[in-house]
Amino acid sequence: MNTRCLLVLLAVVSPGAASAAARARDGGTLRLAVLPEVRADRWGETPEGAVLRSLVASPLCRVEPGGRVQPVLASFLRTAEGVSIVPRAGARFPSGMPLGPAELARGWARVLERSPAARAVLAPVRDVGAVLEQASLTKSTALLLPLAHPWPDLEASLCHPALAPVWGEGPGDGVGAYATDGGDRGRAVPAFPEGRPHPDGFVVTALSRRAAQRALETRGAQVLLGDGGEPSAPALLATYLVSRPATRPLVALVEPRLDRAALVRSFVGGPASAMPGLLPPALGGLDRAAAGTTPGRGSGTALLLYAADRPGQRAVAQRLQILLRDAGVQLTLAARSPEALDRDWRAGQGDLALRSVLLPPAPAAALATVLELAGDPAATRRELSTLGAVPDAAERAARTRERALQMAGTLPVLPLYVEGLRGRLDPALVDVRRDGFGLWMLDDAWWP
Amino acid sequence: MSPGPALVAALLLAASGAGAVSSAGEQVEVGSKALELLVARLSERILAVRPEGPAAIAVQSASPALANAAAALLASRLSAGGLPSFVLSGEEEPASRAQAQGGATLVQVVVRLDADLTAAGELRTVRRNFWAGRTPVTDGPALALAASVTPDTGARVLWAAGQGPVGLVLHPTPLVHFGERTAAVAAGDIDGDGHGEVAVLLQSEVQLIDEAGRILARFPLAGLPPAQVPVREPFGTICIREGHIEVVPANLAAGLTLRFTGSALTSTGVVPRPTLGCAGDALPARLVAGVARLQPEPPPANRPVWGGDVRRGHRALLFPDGTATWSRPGESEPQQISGVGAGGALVDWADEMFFAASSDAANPSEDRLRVVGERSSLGDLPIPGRILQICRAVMNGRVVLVLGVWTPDGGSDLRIVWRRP
Repeated sequence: MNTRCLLVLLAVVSPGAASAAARARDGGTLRLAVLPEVRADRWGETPEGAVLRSLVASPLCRVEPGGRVQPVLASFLRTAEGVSIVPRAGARFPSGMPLGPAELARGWARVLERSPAARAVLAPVRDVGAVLEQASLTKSTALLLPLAHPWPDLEASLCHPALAPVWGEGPGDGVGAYATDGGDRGRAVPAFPEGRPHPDGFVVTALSRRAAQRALETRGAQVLLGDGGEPSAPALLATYLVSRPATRPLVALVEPRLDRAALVRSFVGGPASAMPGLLPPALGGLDRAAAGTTPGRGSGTALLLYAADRPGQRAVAQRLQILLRDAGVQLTLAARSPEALDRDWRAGQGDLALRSVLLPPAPAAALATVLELAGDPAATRRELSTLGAVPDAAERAARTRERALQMAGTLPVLPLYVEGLRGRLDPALVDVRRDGFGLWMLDDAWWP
Repeated sequence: MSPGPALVAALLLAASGAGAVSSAGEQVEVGSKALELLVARLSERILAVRPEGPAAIAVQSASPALANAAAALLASRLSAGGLPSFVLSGEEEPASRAQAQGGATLVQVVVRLDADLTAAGELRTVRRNFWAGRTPVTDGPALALAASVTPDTGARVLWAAGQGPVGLVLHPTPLVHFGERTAAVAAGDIDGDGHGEVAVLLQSEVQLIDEAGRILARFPLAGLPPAQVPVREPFGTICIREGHIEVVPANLAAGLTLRFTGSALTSTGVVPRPTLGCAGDALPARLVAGVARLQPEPPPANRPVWGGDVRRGHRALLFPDGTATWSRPGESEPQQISGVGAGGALVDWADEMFFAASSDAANPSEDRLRVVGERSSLGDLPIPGRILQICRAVMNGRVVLVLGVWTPDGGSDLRIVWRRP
């Protein structure tokens, strides 16, 4: 009798029951609030900018926290010569044009002019310029990247957001789960190879920190980019002070005076940590600096380039200016847009520069990025061919850490600090996970 | 909820004397040497300080069966050792209740089982110093109690008996963990060896798994022609039928029939159709483009479903609004069930048909498996993760439920649930 009653109770269907949420619900608009500096990062070089940009310009693949590579726009095939990249069916630009090897090659040729992260990823490719030029002219089904030496981490590094395929000159001309719909909006792409995103579209609003926090609290926004973050997530946006051979003595003046932890605390802000070694702590790099030497003194003047749109870089540049003034050196600061910074530094402007790059989540590939910043292609190739020859991933990582320790004093690259993704989510959002870079994969997001 | 008195009595009987003889004169095999050893260690320690009797015993545990057994054993040990003891009834304010029930000493322990079977607590007097006035000063011996032993099967059974409602038991460890999401799960005896196998459709491959969780064979899906309109959620149908796996992944242009050769899965080239349920009277269906839904054909109701099951004339359908219908043979109107999630299955346990379903919660860290029968309900069982698939299976000769559970790390587990007879 009792169980009968129980059954009847359980079986009652509430007439106005809303749709259940055990599976994702399609529809609605994903609302993002971003701080001005995130909006300014058009090419997605910071973690926040990369998350935002990935909505309309997806990377080729996703590297999972465990290191597994999941194809998104293309799958990879190892051949005797190198790696063959095969775009997936359904990967189309918003214009309807399919993503082919020629489009991929043309986009990469442009990004190599602009991004040290992209140059580092493609550094193990033999004659990369010629390969891309050749591929951009021919019609084939796959883009073959011949390797100059064994490089097992190529697939994982090809998931770097800097290598997201773009068609035109704009950072948003990519293949995404959303297609841009005016400046601040995107609409879902039903034929995206991973399936349409669950919301029908997204809208981005640039707000001040206070206004953005309030928007998240009042649920006016579901994603906030540029504020907050989790200290436990991988932090891979690494900032280095790079120098010309002639200004190496200046770096020797900076290093003993540098308190990286204080720098992070006072000028960078979390989630970030000091990076005393060439590799960040998340990749097994040093987390404590060696005992310092007594600071020396110098004289003269120097020019430091830094990225204007990164509030942290400006503060750190000013701090370096004070440190060097204490040492008797007058440092002049020169702000550049991120693109101009790369171009001008490579053209020979400036004596020192602050460079921030998102490192790939594999130690050997991360060291390749550091070597790219150091700017000695012959030495880079020598180093990478030895590391790439170690087939076992764990062993390769260990060897890379060892080499990073040995090279620390010899490269014109002084590690400063490393930052993670700054952002907060509405707790009601479901299925937002982080990839190996520590970036949110917002494509899967939905809410009941 | 605690197990029935008969069960506790049987367990106590078995636990208090190994190899006890039941009323029918047969040797009873169950018992827990580990629990006896644990209680023996506690009682040695207690008797050594010669506390004043009678002693009130209060044992707490997440499993009421384990708490009851430990308390009864401890009371009998202490009494046999010369300290008159009784098991304290009720749970709140043990000190005042011990005093009210005439106790002079209170023994309070918490028993739990993880890697070890542990007991921890204290012994103290409950006598108040009369001359202390309003301040409740107590005097007399006090003792910290802590003991730990390696658990045995009996202890595990007692521990499991208190987990969840009467009747449903979750195997403590997953059968297998995958690095990616499960899209569909089916069970059956593919090779006719009398042992059940589980076929799993994952995002990138099909895996065949044996009763012990070992991978027998896998079939990669990469490179096969994709569906016209892809689906973001891992979804599809899978069945083990006549020695073959019939799988229809929502993200591929067509399904596959896979033959198990004993060590590998090979495609036969036959294209199967998706069905709701895998039994002979399974309901034909088609995948709805772009979403994780199936449209039954011919439509019993003209709306798509998340899934469904058919078994012995019973038919269950799970709808995206969180309701399910359960049609039984000989009944014209199906039973309506609400609050149902994406996973559901019909399971026959002891001549009664049951409907097992996940909850409709959006992103639970702990889902609930609900099992209702034709005549009785087995209640809710908490399952860590998010249940997306449920299927009935026969494993090691027992009818069980295999759950496809998504875990927060982006992967998934297969978990086994059975009904305690």
